Amino acid sequence: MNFAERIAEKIKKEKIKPLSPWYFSAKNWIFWISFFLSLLLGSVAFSFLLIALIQNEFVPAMMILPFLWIGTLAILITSAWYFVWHTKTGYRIPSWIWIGGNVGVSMILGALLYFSTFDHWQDQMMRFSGMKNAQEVFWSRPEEGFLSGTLALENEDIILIDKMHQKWYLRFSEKVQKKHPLLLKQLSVSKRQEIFLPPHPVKIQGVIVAKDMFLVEDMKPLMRGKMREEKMQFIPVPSAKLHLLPSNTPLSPL
Amino acid sequence: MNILPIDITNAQNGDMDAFTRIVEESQKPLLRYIMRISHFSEAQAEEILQEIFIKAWRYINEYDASFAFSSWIYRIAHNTTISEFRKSTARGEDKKVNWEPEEVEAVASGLNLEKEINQKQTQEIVRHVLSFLQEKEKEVLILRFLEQKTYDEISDILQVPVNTVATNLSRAKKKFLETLSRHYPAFSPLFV
Repeated sequence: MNFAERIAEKIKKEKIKPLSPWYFSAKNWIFWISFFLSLLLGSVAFSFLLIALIQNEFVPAMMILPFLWIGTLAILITSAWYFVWHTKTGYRIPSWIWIGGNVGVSMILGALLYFSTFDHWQDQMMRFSGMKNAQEVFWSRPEEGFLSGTLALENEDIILIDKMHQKWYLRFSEKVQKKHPLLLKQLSVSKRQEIFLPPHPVKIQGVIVAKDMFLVEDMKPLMRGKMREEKMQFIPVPSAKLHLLPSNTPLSPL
Repeated sequence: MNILPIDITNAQNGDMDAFTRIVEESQKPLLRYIMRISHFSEAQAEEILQEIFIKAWRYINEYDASFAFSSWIYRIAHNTTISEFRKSTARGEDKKVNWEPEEVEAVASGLNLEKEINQKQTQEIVRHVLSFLQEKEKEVLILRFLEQKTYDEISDILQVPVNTVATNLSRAKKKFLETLSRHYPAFSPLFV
């Protein structure tokens, strides 16, 4: 009995069967799917990193978040590389191209996620992680230019009621007029003698110009990730005034 | 290694006779390859070869016709042998290079050393210098100069990018010449 026959004999004796082609096909698919999932999750991690960096940079409790997301992103990029390396032909492309490409794609997709459809998830995550309170604390420092609360009307004037129930009379600067024309259009439909107020809390960046009076430089929803005013919800309120002022206009308390 | 595609297809469909023909056709080059990349005796190498063919049978459906069959089976041989080789070196077994004179000649020829290689002393030197090379460097030299594989085939066998194959080969050549000049300064001018 020669060597080849001995092998055949052993295979028959031990009843060794070839693994099904489906097994290898499924294995290859699983690695590719895992790769794309890691890539996708990496993009999500990057968009969370952007939120942590851009929106919460001054909140001490949030300082650790960017590092957490960088760590998550690094783990996901490494696992994506591992998965692709185990596909049938993944090894043919050098690791640095896979890793570099993965970082690039995660950043692009993550940025797209951040700037487009991320509002809802961000709100959920913030609520889930207790970031809402942190946001409120951060945006409750009017003397430093950060104010938050709910918009309302008082004697035809738009006011903001903050979490301490203090009323702030709002004036809208030239800057905010240029930056958010649509917001102001929504807030001021003077011809129809009604304005639209967002029912949800807003955050305002600006400066105290007089007692209980705040000059608005920027305004966006408190729990929203970006400043697209068309995404803000508005409810119509009849007969109100909107004070649009150049930012250097001298103001006196009401 | 001249394996008929029909034998591969039939073996994938469970035809043991076709697989036996594949074994007959590939056993000699694979046995030689095992002995080249390890220090195993022929008897030990045959045991490993048996393990390799059983794996090949089990994984035969993994083979994809877009690759060369020889690259696929060399990959199994490489991985199995290296794994066994590491186990044996961990046990402290001898690591010296046991190549035949013509094998040393082939590597030396690849390194442009053929002018002096017919001398027995020179062969000994080449063999000694090769023992200083790392596993990665040695295996790429073996696949290129002894197994006559192309860069693409080496890439598929070792599962590394083609660029890495080129880099490792270039590094192996450089290290060979550096080691030679360090240990045999009198000989190094002959090889440059």
